[in-house]
Amino acid sequence: MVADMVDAGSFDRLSNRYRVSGVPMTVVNGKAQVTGAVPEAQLMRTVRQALGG
Amino acid sequence: MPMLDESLKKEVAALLDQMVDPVEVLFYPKAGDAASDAMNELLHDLSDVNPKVSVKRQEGAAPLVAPDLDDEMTSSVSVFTTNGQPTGVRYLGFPGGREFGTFLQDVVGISSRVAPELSPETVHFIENLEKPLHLQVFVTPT
Repeated sequence: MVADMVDAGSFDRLSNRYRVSGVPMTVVNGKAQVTGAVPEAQLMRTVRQALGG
Repeated sequence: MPMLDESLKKEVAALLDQMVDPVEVLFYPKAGDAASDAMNELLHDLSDVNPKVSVKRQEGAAPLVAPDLDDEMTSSVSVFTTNGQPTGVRYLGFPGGREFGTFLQDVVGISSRVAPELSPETVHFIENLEKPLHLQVFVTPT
């Protein structure tokens, strides 16, 4: 497991790929994403979605 | 040029006093990138404030973590390790503005192994992961 904090301004190409428009935005395995400081349960739904389960 | 003035160094020192284990940062700079230069200065300032933070400058690019692409690595990558072991935590770019406080808390958290406040279900899920998991949290230094 790898967890990155990404300075969106310095990583504009990466940010553009995921169309980052609000922060914080969390991307999981490049497949699923959620914007905002969401509750743990919501983040975990996104994680499970990305992992296909 | 130092990133932290003397006043700020005192505040940072008080926070870093909570560190337990040394944290070594494997720093992968990006040539010609101002944020990368700033991060280099910041990491060395932190090391000056508290020697439990050390910086090891790396040659070449940071190893890619899928699904990142090489041409997307437009600034520095800082990989946090403790006791010679990767922690799985990286910082891409420079933690300016309000992100600086969060960044310092992360350093202390890694060092002191403070368990995050997660539900038992989430902890169980993570401990039993069978597939690679790459979380990327995009922030802006405002």
